[in-house]
Amino acid sequence: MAQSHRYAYGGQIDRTQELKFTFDGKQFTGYQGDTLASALLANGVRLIGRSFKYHRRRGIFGIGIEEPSSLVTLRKGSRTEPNLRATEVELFDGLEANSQNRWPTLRFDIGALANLASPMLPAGFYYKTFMWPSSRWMFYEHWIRKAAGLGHSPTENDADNYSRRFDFCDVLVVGGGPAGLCAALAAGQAGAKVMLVDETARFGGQLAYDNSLLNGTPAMDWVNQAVEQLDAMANVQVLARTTAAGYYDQNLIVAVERISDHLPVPADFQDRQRLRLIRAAQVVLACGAIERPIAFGGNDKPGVMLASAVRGYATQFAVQAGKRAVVFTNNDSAYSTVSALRNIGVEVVAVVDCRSESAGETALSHLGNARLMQGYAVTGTSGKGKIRSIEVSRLLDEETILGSERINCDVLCVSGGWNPTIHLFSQAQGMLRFDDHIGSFVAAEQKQNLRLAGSINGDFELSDCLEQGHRAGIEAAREAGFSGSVDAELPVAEQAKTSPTKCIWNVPIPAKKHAKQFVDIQNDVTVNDLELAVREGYISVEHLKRYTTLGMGTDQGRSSNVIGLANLARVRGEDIPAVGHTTFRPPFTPMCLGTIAADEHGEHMTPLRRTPLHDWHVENNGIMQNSGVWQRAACYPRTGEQIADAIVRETRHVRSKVGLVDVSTLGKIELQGRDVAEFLERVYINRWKSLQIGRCRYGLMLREDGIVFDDGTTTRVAENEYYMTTTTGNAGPVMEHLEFYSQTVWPDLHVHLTSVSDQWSGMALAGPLSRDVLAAVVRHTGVDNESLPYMGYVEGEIEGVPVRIFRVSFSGELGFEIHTPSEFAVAVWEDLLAAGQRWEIAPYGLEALTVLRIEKGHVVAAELDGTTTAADLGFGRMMKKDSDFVGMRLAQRSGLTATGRLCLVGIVATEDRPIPKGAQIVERSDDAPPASTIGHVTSSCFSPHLNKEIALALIRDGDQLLGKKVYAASPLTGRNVAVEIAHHIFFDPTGERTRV
Amino acid sequence: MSDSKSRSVLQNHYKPGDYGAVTGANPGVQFRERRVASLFQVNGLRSIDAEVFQSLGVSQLPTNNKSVSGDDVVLMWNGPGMALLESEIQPSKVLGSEVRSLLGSTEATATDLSSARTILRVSGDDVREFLKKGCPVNVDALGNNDVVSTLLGHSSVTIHCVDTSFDIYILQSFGLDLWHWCQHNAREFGYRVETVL
Repeated sequence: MAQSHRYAYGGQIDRTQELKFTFDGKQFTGYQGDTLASALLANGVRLIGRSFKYHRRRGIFGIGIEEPSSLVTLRKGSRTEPNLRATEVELFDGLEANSQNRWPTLRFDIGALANLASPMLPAGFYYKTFMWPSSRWMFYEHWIRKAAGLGHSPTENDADNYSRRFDFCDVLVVGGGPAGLCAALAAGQAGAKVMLVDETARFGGQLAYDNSLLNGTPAMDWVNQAVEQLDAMANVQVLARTTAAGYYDQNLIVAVERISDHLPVPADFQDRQRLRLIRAAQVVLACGAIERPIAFGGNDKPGVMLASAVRGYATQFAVQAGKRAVVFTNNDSAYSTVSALRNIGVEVVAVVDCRSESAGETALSHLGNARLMQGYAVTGTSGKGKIRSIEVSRLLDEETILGSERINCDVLCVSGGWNPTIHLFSQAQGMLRFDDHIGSFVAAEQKQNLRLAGSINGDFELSDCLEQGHRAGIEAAREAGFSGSVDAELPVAEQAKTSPTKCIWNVPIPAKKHAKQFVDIQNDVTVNDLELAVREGYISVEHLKRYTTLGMGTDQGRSSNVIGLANLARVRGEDIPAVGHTTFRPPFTPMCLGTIAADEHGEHMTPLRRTPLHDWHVENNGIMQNSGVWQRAACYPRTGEQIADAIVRETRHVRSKVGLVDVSTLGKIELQGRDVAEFLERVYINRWKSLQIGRCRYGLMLREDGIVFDDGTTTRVAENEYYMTTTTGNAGPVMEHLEFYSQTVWPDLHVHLTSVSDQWSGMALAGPLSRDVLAAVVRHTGVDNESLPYMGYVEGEIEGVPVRIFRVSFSGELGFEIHTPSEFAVAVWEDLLAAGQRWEIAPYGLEALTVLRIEKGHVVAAELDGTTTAADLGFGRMMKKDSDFVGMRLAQRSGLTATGRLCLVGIVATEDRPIPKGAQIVERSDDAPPASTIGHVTSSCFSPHLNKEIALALIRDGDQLLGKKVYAASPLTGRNVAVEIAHHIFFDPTGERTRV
Repeated sequence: MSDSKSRSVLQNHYKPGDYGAVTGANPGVQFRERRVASLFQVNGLRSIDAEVFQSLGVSQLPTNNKSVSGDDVVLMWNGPGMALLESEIQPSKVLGSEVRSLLGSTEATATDLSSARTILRVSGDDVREFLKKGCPVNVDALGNNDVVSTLLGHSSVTIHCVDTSFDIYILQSFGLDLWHWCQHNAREFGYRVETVL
């Protein structure tokens, strides 16, 4: 029968909108406003899943985030999402849900054999077994994972979009129950910018689950009015379906907004979820409280539920969790479940109250004709797929029961008291204390700008919650600087007359009976497991958690932690405060990894930096490669040409004719001021005061510890203006280095630094015919040797565009670096190529540039690796002896000047095999690893000039070993290449070609 | 200098039109690339008089995180003793020489950055919501003439609030990357790419 457990009237559902859904392939119907859990219950479905370890049958236990049992996999394909609590899944038409951790079916699960073997599978069994032989662990692990676990993650890429948003507010209110609503109303009226977040689709908190009255009318009427009022306030943002997941320093709260989880699929361009990073001046935590169960024999069977959940399903969804109910409680709150069930036609046969004292007057008013069994406790349950009956005994004290009575029922509503939801408070470094009256932890000392309101304080009286929320809202707004008049009138709640809670955690098992008393229903942790763990020495609460898995998993022990702590205290013979509690960590509830990643994937994972010529390279068959954060053209293969062949062709072309390469990635810094020359003297190892206007000079910088930092050329553009280039990778660090010295060490020097890396694009024209090309196109300056000598600088125009021309060479050929404002880079580049056609100019890429520089022995980041000194790289004689500079003193350390250091040399393969990059240099080829090495390869390539494989290497006292035959060994690639040590400049060692 | 040779890094990627979840007449976010005539980094502002730029119509120097406007120029604070000087119409050569002349023998200096930035003007009803997706500062607190150096997505940007619009300045080498980020993140609001200003 369709929706056999839905009462004909009532509930906050839209019965005009019937929704179809499937569970394990079977079709059901529900209504708009249902959750998957309420719809399944309405259809009489009791078995929802299998437990983690023993594969025991599990049904719906709670109604919200506390749910430990009813985990399902939702949707399919790339939208598959496992481990969702059915209690939190909003029903939509076409919803597909499947149970988890069972095979072949939920009803007939082979894994349930584990339950029979449970005596052999106590807490920590996996630490004690499967240890021998150790080589078989991977085999064991495969089967353990198959046997125990949650759902399976999808293998396809997530089809949905996620985003992130930064929010700021004066007052953030977490929780949309009565306290939260009052706080938001008060803070909003005071004029503060307020954000109110609640994890559910509707507001009201526990008010939605009971039949409370406010101002004499149903409490939900007031809730709806309050939300309308808040919605109408321009300074208030109300966010439903938003969970505050983490509370970090400086009142940073991370919240997850579920934008379209309640829809079959997100609308076009709509995100599925949004991560909100909320920075709040003041926070009001009105997170409420979560009901806890009591451990007794067979307390995990489908049909055993939290009393508040049963009440909630009855009130909000008009769903009968069963037809014949018993309430088992130690406090007054569960009594209202009786009237809620009665209202939807459920017979409540008994209320089993373990307290010997009478419940309060208000509680008793709900009792009706239900039998009250005072001083009794439930000691066991019967039934296979779901409970059929319970066993009740008189409870004499915590360890003694007397007699036994069987009561037939199909739902048992359990209430062991309430735990304030102090997770966020604790994440905010708040200190907790144990409150004996409610049997749970409450806030003691706060560390951030926050205040608590409502039952999170352990105060469960509705009128108190309202008043605390109102006051917290006013105070938070005032602390944030808003003191507008607050005219919100607090609704009047009936003052309940209550009796105190009796803290009881376990009920003894009747003599001669065996049953498991589950503390953690999700992780199959029993009272016996906790006792065993303590006997084995795991007496620390953190150790106990990890050994038994208590409080782990998707529910993070919301219903089990306090009972677990109480049992640990009992076994240790101490009080609960002495035992302490485990650490509360974000996230408060499980989050999608997609939400955390937001849009940071694919091309948005990390920013890509492109030169102004990027599009030209792509359009002209440039093979683009990542080089640090930059995208650079590696080479430009012609039709049918292999990449390696293209690199060789481009290299030979530069050596024989003329080539053009994009060097816009170089760092560029403009230095202005009357003391720049002095500044350069102090940051470079060589001299600068003698540099004339219109001249460039190569410079080398050291770090403070005497190690080489960076190199490049600096040009004196005008009297007090210099133009520095740095390596591509060190552009940022060098700028920081110079700024640091300018601002903090030598503020007396008049130097202003500006990064102009993006202002100027650079292109290097290189090759014996480069001057011809440049001369053909440049105006307002000559480029002959007299006008522009080696290491000279001129300014001119190319087709009306201003250019800076530097006579420098990285390739070892006659070369010019032409820098132009970036917006004209394409124009200048194309003009040079057009003008150079006569000389068969060709673009060349980063790979050919690398080959050219290795042949010439120029160093780059591979050689400036943070270990080399100027002397190691052959620049020892550049270092000034008579004036100080950064790194000078520590460069003179004995360790940096001793013999035996690695120094830069070249190596040439004596066989026709590539020299592996990173290879170790060894003296014998037959040494078994670990062989002693004398150095390593830093850069290698095939040299078209020598027609050999060559490399640069750092070799111990390498400059003394020229001509020595050694081996470049690469254990990673298994290659072992015979090489000969040579000078590091392979090409034109006297530099004649650059000076022609 | 020929303007026809000037080329934005967005040129091949900037296609005017409406995109994303456009529901009404106006999309929630509008983008327009600004190609300013000149942009200078002025350093050493602490060493000069407030009236130094008076001939440009700027009667005072900008205070922290603020901009001041002159006849054809805007001076935007971008660090202690530093500001960006921007003109939409004065060519960099002309403005550069005037500024250097105004700074004269003071300790302040000016550096031409006219080609160094990609500038996007973002406006529309949802512009602040759009910016909140990547900007970790309090966007709602930004008012006219406010300037902040911050992040948008992963990129360092300077944001200048101009009436109800925001000008985003980013290194031109990251311009295309930011443009892709903007397009991706504006889809939910619907966005319009307007012709280059």
